[in-house]
Amino acid sequence: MNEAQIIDELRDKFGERIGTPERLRQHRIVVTVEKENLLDLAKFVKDTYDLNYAISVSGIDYPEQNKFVVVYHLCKMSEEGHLPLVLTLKVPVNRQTPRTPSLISIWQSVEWHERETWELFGIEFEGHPKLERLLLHEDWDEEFPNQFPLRKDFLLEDE
Amino acid sequence: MSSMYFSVGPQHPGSGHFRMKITLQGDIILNAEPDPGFVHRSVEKIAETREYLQNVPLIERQCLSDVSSVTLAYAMGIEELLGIEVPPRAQYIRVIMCELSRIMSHLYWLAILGIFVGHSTMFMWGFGDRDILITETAEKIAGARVSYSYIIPGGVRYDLPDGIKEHTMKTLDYFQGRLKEYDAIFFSNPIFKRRTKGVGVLSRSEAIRLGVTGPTLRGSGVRGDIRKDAPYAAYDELDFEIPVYSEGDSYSRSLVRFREMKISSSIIRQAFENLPEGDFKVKTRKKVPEGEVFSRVEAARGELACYLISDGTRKPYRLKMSTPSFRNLPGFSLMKGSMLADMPPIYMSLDYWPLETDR
Amino acid sequence: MSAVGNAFVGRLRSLVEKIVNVNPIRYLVNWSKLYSLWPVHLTTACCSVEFGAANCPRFDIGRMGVAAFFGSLRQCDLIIIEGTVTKKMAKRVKKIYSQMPSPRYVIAMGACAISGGLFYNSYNIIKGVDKILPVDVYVPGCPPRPEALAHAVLLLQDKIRKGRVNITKGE
Repeated sequence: MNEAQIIDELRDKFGERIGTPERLRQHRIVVTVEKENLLDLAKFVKDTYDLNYAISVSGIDYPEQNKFVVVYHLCKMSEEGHLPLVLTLKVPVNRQTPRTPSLISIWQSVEWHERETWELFGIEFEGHPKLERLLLHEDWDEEFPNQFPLRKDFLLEDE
Repeated sequence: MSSMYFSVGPQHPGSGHFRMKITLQGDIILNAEPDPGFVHRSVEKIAETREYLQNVPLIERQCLSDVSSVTLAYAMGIEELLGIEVPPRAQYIRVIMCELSRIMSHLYWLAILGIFVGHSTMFMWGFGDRDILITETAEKIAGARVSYSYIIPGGVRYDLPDGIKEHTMKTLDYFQGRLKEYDAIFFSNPIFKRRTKGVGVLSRSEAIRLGVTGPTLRGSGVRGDIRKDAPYAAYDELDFEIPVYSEGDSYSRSLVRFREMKISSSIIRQAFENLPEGDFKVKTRKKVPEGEVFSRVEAARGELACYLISDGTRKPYRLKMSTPSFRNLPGFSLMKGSMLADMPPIYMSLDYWPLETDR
Repeated sequence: MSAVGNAFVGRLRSLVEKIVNVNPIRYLVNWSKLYSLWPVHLTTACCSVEFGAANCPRFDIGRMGVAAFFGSLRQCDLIIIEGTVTKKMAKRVKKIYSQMPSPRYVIAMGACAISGGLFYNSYNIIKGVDKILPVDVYVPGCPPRPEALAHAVLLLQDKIRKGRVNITKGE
């Protein structure tokens, strides 16, 4: 399965419901998807291409465009190793009401990654069983109420 | 029988900067939940305020026992955005450094595993050989014992010094002999075998489902190694095998690392034999063009991915390190159902490095 | 009654302290403390790599009279802060220090434990462990070499040797 085939198939199957799949370079495909269609797309790529292995979940903050982007990096792992292809799902999330469905029902391995993204960005993952403090200290809420460190409006001392 | 709750760490001989919340019933572990965050130093946030080159020493601090692979992932990301080709000599030197730091990390792990299962000799041997053989070689090449910031975007900082090939070969010859002794005294030791065989079994499908990586994955029968699957640096020109054991217990995870040390030394030999002449770095620009990149390397503990987003300035817009220890966190569920005395071998067989998780 | 008793014990203590600080006795008491420093096994950050190396065959600070790190902090009198102290760790560090019996000594190892080091502008660290503990010896470096840690131990022993024996202070 090469990248061009995957891009064509995704475009045929989902059409307007996802952004145009983009080939960044060899082995890297980026698909932007709204959160309404996220679960459908995730199920589809897992079942069709057997992308059974979530590498990472990241958040990105774009305050000028008033959005966060949650990024999932997925690849295929078989007995014989990784497939070099990495599919990137980008989910834009409104900055005022940061909520998006959790993909834990599809990939168990996103559990800790989503918990970290929730903690550092304040993005709510609907359906995640355990959104609790992970890396920050216990008194964070008293020291910095309603602040999330990786957002761009959280400034460090010398900025 | 009522259950009992207690926490292991952060002040505990067997935990490091890390805590495990353990629920016990009798001698059986009902639940083991990791509590990271004791070394969360916000590397990702600080990286957004510093220039690309300044970030090299910063991100290397997140895994001080295996520095080369961390910096390599970051450097590869920047090189891809800049669109520069790294000279072949630099690629080979990078391979040498990555494998040296893999051996360094595995020896550190082996030493701590030794003391965890009550084998003090292995502890002393592991640390002693690490200092005398490997750290000294790294110091000769890069000028520092552990934190050398040697791999930078565009190549490596300096060329190899004179006579380093002979020194390294001599070191590796001696190290080969030591590995045999490790096998005789530790890995073939019936006590060690009985403490680790059949302990903390992770099946193949469960390993993939939980998303664990590195030797933990290869100990469960999955041949997953980025060096082979998506080759970087000069790994596609070198000949090496990936050790895989299918039992999925603590012993097979330990054997994977043990055999990797041997394979790493053979990779270093090959890299020295085939070392091309030429430049060891190319000039880079301070401003990195706009774009995003996802670079993956195989660090000592598993796949390390660096997700870098640039907005065209001198500083990264967002840097996310997806580290192997973080991805091995679900592996702590292996402790469920085993005895408390089996906790140290299981914990050590995951080779968990808290700094890498917390960043 | 107890007040009178306390006053009596207090006076006795200060008397003993005067006697103990007469030079040959003072020297003997200090000397007996010098070569049995037992560090707590507390690793706060990445300098622990070099601390581990310092304990092992190549550098072996054990020969200077520092025991290998030990599990129970009730028997320890030295705490080596190895690197960055985050806010989450700081609480534990304070707690551990308060549980150690007196006399106790603190070595701050690494640039992060001294001033924050590379992570000086992080939101989650204590900039220098001396904000929460009284530090006896600072070891610069990122991370310091094991030889530097060995030197710090020698400096600490020198400090103990020259120091006054303090028995009234309960702390």
